[in-house]
Amino acid sequence: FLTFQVDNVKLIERYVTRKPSVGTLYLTTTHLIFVDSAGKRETWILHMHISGIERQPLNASGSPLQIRCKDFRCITFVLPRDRDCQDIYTSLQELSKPSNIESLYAFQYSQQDSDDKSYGWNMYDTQTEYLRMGVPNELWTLTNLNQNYELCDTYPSHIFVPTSANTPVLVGSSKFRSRGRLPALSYLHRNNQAAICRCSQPLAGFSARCVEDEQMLHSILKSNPKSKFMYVVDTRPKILLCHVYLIREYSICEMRNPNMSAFLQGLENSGWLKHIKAVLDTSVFIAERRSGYQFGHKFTDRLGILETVDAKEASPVYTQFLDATWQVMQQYPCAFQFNERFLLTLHDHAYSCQFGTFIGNCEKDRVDLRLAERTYSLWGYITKNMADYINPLYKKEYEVKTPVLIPNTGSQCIKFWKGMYNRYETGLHPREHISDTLSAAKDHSTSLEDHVRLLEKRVTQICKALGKSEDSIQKALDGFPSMESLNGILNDLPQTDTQSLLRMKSDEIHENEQMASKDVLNDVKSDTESGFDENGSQMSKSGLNEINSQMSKSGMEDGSVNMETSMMSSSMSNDNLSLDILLMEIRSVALDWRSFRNIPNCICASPFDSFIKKASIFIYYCYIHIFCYLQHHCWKCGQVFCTRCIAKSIPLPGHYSHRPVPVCRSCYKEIRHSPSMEFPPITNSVTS
Amino acid sequence: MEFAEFINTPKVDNVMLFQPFKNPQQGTLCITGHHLIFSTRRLDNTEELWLLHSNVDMVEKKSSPASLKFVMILKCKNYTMLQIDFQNAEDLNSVAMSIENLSNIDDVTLKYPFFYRAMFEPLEDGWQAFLPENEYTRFKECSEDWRLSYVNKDYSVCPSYPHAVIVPKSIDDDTVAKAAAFRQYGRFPVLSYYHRQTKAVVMRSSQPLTGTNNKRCKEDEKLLNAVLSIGKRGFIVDTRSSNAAKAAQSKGGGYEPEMHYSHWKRIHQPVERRQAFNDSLIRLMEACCDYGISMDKWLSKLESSNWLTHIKDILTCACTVAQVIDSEGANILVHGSEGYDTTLQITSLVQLVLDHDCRTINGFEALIEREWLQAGHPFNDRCSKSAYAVSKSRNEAPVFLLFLDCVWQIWQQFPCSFEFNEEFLILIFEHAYSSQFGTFLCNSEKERKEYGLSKKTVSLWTYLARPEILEKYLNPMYDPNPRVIWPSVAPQSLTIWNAVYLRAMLKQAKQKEAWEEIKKIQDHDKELRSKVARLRRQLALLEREAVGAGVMMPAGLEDEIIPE
Repeated sequence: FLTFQVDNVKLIERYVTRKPSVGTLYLTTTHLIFVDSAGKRETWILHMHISGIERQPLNASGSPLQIRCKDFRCITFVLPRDRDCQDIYTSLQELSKPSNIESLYAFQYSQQDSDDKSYGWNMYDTQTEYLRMGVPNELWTLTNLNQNYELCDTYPSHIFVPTSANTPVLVGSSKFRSRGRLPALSYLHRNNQAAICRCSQPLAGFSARCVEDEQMLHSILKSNPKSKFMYVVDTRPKILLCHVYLIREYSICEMRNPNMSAFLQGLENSGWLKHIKAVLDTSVFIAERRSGYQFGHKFTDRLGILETVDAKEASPVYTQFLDATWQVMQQYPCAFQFNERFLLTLHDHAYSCQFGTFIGNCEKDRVDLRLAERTYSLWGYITKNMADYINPLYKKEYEVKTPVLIPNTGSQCIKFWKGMYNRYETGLHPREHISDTLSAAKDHSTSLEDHVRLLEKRVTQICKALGKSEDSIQKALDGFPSMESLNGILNDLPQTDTQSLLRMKSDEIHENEQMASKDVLNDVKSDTESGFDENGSQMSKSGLNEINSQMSKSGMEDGSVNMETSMMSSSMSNDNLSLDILLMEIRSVALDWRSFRNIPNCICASPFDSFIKKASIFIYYCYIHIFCYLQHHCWKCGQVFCTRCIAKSIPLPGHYSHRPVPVCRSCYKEIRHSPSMEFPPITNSVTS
Repeated sequence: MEFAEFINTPKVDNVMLFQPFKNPQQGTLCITGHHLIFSTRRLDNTEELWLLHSNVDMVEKKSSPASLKFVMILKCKNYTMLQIDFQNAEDLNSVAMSIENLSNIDDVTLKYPFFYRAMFEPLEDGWQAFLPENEYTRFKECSEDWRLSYVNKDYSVCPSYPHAVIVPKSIDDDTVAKAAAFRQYGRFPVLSYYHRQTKAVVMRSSQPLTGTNNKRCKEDEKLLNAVLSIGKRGFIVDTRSSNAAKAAQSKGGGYEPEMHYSHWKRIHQPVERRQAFNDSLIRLMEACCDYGISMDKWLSKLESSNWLTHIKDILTCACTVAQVIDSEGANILVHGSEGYDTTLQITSLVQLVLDHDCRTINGFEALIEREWLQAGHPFNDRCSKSAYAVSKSRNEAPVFLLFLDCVWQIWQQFPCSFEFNEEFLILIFEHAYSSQFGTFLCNSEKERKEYGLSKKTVSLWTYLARPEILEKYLNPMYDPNPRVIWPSVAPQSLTIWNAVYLRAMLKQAKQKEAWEEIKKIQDHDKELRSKVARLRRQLALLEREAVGAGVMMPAGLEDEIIPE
């Protein structure tokens, strides 16, 4: 299906000092794809992301074509022949600005698995969202006037207005406002009944008044019984100007080798940060007055609001909104359920038109285009890949304890969001990502918790089979070795006086245990150490990791030695408990997960790029190609794989809950084919 | 006690204390020889504030008798601020005068470390922890070409060097002494860092005293050439611009001319001088303390302060040196003019980038001890006043603070590669300016010995060696990284160190909360890991017992379930 192909193309990226890569450029109906000749790196540019194409003067190496993207990427391709360059230039010009909304990528995009397209479309229903805020109630009511978008075609069909405002007032007010956007409820604070309404500018001219509109505002005022004032916040000059600033912002990101002061000057000139501050100031102003703003605690809050944002018209406004959210996130790292990647995804998809969510200017358009039937919803996609967007530090108690975040808007706290504007300059970003590592640590903990429950069950089971008392089972679960097993190993201990043995100092027992375990599992010494002094010294960890990566293997080998030496016994009293099963259970859960650091490639040879992965989080789907550079752990072997290689989920024998968890391909096969699986594997694809 | 003459009013009741992000408190103020103590004196929960006089950088008085407001603002060297409201003008003036005087006592022996007694049982003596001898034994295993020289044992060759330094083995002490005479303040080239992977070394010195008539010194040349193996060129990194280096000749200084040092290639990586650092800091703090500053003004003030430009220059220079060491394996000599300011910033940052040992707590302490304290950075001259002080000597400069800032920049780009957290860097910064410990007193090892610091004061390292203290400064994200870490020096990557310069402006509580959460997640994970390990061992024991007792069957399917 590849329509056009040019070989020997050079790719030059800003800030990348190493020599340009040479490869092949493909032009498809939806993407511009560059594959370097080593086949290692693929660069995909969605046509919808292209904001500007520029042909630069011909030089010795060929004809350069500079492409600027809406996600702040800037790439120059050097094509060997001028005609190819011209061809690509003209076709890109056309493709990047489709004249017809029907030709957008979203209408062609289909996911590999035959998932229902409706998934996610009904996730955020206007009425439910308002119900969450506690409306309709005695003061606010749903009006039917906009049922078929007669009153205002850019508003949703359900709008909430004060109960005291009657139909003529609403109609009159709507006529007085630009494009019929009458004041309607946007957010109602549950605790103090204060409301945010939004509307467009009044068409007042110089002296015109509108009685109905004044009545409307009056009834809004009345609907808050606790307050005698209402603030009308006018944001006009700020929004009008910001388009200019965004353009300047582009230019900063493009400075090749700026020095410090040029950078700061550029920032100053751009005034972008000033606008971010202005936006924040305004919202804080509202927040303080009304002591209720609830700046996005949950996905649902945010998404509900976003539904009504008309994305295409107000592009810099939207970026600004995301930037402002990011600024608050910086100040409240534990208050948001989502992470930076989530904001970037929202930003990219507002432009990509891959999902139907941001297509159309208002609900009316969306209904007209039957988007829900014909395209996928981004919310559905995000929900399915939720794990990638969760902030591991999110604390639920924020919802209760500090429902209102009041960010500090001092100039000193507003920062430059390099994750957004310099996203593709990989060299600029922190080389280690705390949040990814933490998310992995959380998953790891979940896995181990599940495993602990199973191990405890098995310990109890065997203890019961051996006829031990409840007391000694509890001891065993607490990690103290059973007396019988100790007796066999440590001859110098008094065998009869078990009571005194129990009163032994715990560390002595640990010592014995160490000896005992050395005897049984001679290769897992490191575990014993880690059990006791890991908290104290982190220094010893480096050596540990290597040993532990072999842990499951060595444990297994020792176990098999164990089995060989043991006598065959026919008096099996315990159904389905054999060493095989035990071993398989233990081996199926990785004790340690490999750290993300210093892993340049997945086994499938696709490179992990420390920051590009953030950009390519949405999976481009184009016939066979799915690629995504996010790093994931296999829950069974603990190694790191790319999304493509962790395509399957399966319950692990070592988990108590039998919940399907992500594993790599070879582990998947291994578990599928093990003969003694006591439960049927459930296949469930992780990525889609 | 001689402090008594400064203290006119030892106690004032009913004052109000205002601190950033805290509710105002009423209480009693006491002035002692070394502390300003504020106590709420409430029975239920008495809150006390102890502030060292030496921490006060500036005392500001604002009195308006009309509105009965008598306000004292204390600006501290660690950039915190306090405001105390008095009832009357006499109290205000008397207290302000006392603090002014007490915070400006120059006599080292009257400083607080000489009066401070450790309230804890020392585990190890920090004064003895990082002696040059110890460091040398660690290093001896790697290379045979170097020796420990005691040529400076009575500090006569170079007063700012320690009693023992590492020099090339083939060079005897006489040659060293002669070479020292050719270098400013006798700071002859000594070994600073040995890179195991490439066997390249970093040396540091001060500028050669070539002067206008191009003097040369055979011994100095011999010392330097002894480092080079046959056919290899070394690099001399001069932290001044080539113009500045030439200009230094007229004052008796200079640089190594090509014709006498033919095996060495000179590179100029200019970094600003002390005075510029100082001006920058003053302007930076001015901008940082401006409440309600507009965005434009903030950015233009930040820009004109040049603070981040200095950071960028220093990091760029350090990265250049590190790159030569790591990729070319060539030996390097670093110097500027005196060789105890910028030179030390560069040599210590190079080690931080190249050597993962320096990124542990103990290794970082050793680095500071080796490259700053023993290398003769004049802490007393540089860190006795800070950004707010009105009168300052010309020797003041935030050289060490800039170094810590650079470390922080690298730290935030590699948050998992350092064993210590941000608090640790702040702690060291605070103690460098004002402390109950003797570590950062005086200008050199010589002076420290003369004042008998190791006998009469407690070392900061002694305090930090205790596990319960150390625990607070551990980075929960630490995962040892033996590799070289290359920081980004692009302007977008460098940011203002909020937790220091903006500590009076920005509340750090939310960031602290995040770190606590991180620690919780990581600790929980570790705990689970050891629990699993314990249970698995337990199971192995039980398994053996069960098989022995014949209650469990060892099935023979193992070959099939273990595909190799």
